[in-house]
Amino acid sequence: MALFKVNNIRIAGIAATVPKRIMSNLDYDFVSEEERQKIVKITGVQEKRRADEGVTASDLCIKSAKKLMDDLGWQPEDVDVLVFVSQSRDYILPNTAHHIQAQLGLPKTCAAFDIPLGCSGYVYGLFAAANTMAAGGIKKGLFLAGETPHFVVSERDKASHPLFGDAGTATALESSQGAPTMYFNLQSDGSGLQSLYVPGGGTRLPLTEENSVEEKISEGIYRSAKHLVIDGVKVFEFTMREVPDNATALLNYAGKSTDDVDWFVMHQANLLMMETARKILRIPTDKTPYSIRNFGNTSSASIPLTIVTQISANVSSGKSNWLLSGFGTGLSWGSCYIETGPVYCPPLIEY
Amino acid sequence: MIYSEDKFLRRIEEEFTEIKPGSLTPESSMPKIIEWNSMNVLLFLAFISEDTGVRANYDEVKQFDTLHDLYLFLGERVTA
Repeated sequence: MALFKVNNIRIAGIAATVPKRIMSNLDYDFVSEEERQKIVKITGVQEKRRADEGVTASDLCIKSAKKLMDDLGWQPEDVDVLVFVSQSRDYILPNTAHHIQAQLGLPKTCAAFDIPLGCSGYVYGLFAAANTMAAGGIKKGLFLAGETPHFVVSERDKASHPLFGDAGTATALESSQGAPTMYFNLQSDGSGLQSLYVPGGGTRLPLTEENSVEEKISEGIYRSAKHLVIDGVKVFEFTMREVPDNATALLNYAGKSTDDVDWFVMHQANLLMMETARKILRIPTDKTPYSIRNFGNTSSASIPLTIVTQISANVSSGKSNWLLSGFGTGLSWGSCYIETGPVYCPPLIEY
Repeated sequence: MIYSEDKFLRRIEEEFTEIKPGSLTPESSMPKIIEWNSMNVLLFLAFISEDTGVRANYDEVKQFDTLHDLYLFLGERVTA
C-alpha cells in the first residue's frame, strides 16, 4: 500500500479565489423544472462560478498566491518549491508552473512542476509538495491547485454542466522542526479510466473536424470528443467502494480514529456521494463542511476552497486535526491526516 | 437485514415519492417500480447503503426480478 509519512512540514496558510460571475443551476433551462430540482437535490449544487473568457486556472491561483505571500510576509526569493495541480493548463507545453513561477517573481533556484491530476489532486499535490520540501530541507513552498472545468464540459450535458465550477487556490507550506507528522494514503485504478475522462484532444485521439461536432448521446446529453464523459453510476459506486476504506486504512496507519478528526474535508464531488461516504465512515455532519452548494465541484481546488469558505474561523484560531479525502478521474484517490496549528486563511477572493 | 421486509418496502416508498404509499409488495417487479435512470440509480444505491450498510452496485441490484429477491440478497450481504 502507498502509505506515507512526511515530517517537519506545516501548512502556514490557504487562500482561495473564485470568479465573480455566478451561474445558477436554477436557471439551467436546457432541462425541465422538475429535472432542475432533482439535479440540485442530488448534486447539491445550486450555483457555481464561471471565469470570464481569457481568465485561466493559473490566473486564479496566482491571485491566491500573491495575497497569501503578502499577508504571511513571504518574500518571493524565499520560495524554493512550486507545485501546480491542474488539468486546465495554460499551454500544451511547457508546464504552467513555469509561467506561475515567473508571474510570482520566484527565483531561478525554485523547483517548479505541474501535476495534471483532477479531483484527487489536492491530496496528491500536498504530498508531492511537502515531501519534496522535506527531502530537500526546503524552508518555504507553494502548492497551487486550480481548475476551470468549463473548458471541457458541454453546455448541453445535464450530467456534467450543472456540476462544475471554477476556482484557484494556494497553500503555503513551511519547514517547521517538530511539526506533527502528515500521513497520506494514495491509490489508483486505471481500469476505471472511462468512468470519467475526456476522450479527445490528446495524442491517443487528436481532435478532428468530425469528432469535434457534438452528438446526441442520450436524452439531455450532447457531447463531442473534446468534452468530459461522466458515468455517474460508476463514479458513485467507486466512491462508495473505495473512499471510506481508504480513509479508514489511513487512520489505522496514523493510529487515529474518526473521533480524533475535527474536520473531515472531502473533495466536493456531489452531495449524494459525499453524504454516502460520510455516513459509511460515521462522521458527524458538524465535522464535515460542504461548499458545493455555492461553488459546485471545483476539482482539485474544492478541498482548500471548502476550508477557506466554511471553517476558516476555526482553523485559523487554533490547532485542529484534518482528514482530507480526494477522489475522481483516473481513477485516482487518496486521503491525508494532518494535525495543524493555526492556519491563516484570508477571506475568499473574487477575481 | 436490520429490519423486516415490510419495513424495507415502506422505506422504498418513502424515498421515492413517485411510488404510491402502500403499493409495494414482495412480488413487486424491480424493473417496473421506478424509472431506472442514472439519478434514480444513485438515489437507490445511496438508500441501500444508508439503510442496510451494504455497498451494492447497480449490476448486482438490477439482476433481481422482485423486491423480495433483492431483500434476500441484502440480508445475505449484511450477515456475510
